[in-house]
Amino acid sequence: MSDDPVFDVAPFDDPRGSAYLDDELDATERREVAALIDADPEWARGLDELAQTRTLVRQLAMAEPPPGFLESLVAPAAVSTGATVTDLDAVRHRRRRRATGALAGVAAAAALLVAVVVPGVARTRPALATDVRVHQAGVAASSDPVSGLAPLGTSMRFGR
Amino acid sequence: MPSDGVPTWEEVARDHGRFLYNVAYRLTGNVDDARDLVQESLLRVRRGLATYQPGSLEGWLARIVTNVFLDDMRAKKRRPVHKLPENPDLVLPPTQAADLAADAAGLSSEIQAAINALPEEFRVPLVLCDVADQTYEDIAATLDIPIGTVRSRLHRGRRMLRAELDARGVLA
Repeated sequence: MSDDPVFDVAPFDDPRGSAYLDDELDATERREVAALIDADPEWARGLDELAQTRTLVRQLAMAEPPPGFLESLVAPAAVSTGATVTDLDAVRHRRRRRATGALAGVAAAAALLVAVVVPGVARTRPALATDVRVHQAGVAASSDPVSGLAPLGTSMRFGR
Repeated sequence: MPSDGVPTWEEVARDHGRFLYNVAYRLTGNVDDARDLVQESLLRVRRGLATYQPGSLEGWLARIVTNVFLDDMRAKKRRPVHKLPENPDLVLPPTQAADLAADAAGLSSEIQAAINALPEEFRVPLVLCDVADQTYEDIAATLDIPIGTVRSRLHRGRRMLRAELDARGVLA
């Protein structure tokens, strides 16, 4: 039983009330309940409330499946090949695999990030070293002492 | 339907799929679980058709979908998927499921939410009786409980449902 106070129901606790509404009483019990309804206004009121609740549920519109859902289960190709059960089995596990796939995707993205970004940072030093060597070679080839004084960034157009 | 009165699996899925889905949705209260429940139920239907004795087909289907639902509930209880929060303040407030929010009939959503709020032992007989239109005898057989227990659970379930609907302002 729930601890929720909303479930602390009032004293109309005779289960024959529901059975009366559902026509699940034998003739004797039915007569007894009919007598109770006549004799006890509280009983009659409780039964009315119960009947109203029962009607609300029974009159709920049929819950419609998502479009295409049932059709996908009886797709002609699957039926004609007898593969429907296999397909259903696959569909049943698809959602679980989707969750696993999402995790795998996150892991793959993380791995890719590590593979791309971290080596990228590591490559900075060798790339600069190469540029320095190219710059020095250029200076040596031009035999221009002034160019040799220019910072590396000038020739590489850093900051321009 | 074949002359022996036993439908094919395709006939069951095509002609009674909506019934299965309706019961599944009322039991679970959300689209995803209802779809899973229907799929699993149809698998069992396929396996069970070989031994099916012609009779109340929808009664048989209601029994299957209920058993799948209860098996799933038991499995979830053995392997709870939600850890209790260490900091309750971080728990998001309950929201209506998207499928319920999208429901054009607000009253229908409220009633379904109230059904969901019922403990399982009261919700299942109520759905079997008022949605699947099963007799007390059928419900007793499906749930493997005495008819007297069906009667009392249904009665109490309806009263709890009324209290829940009242708390939600549906009956105002």
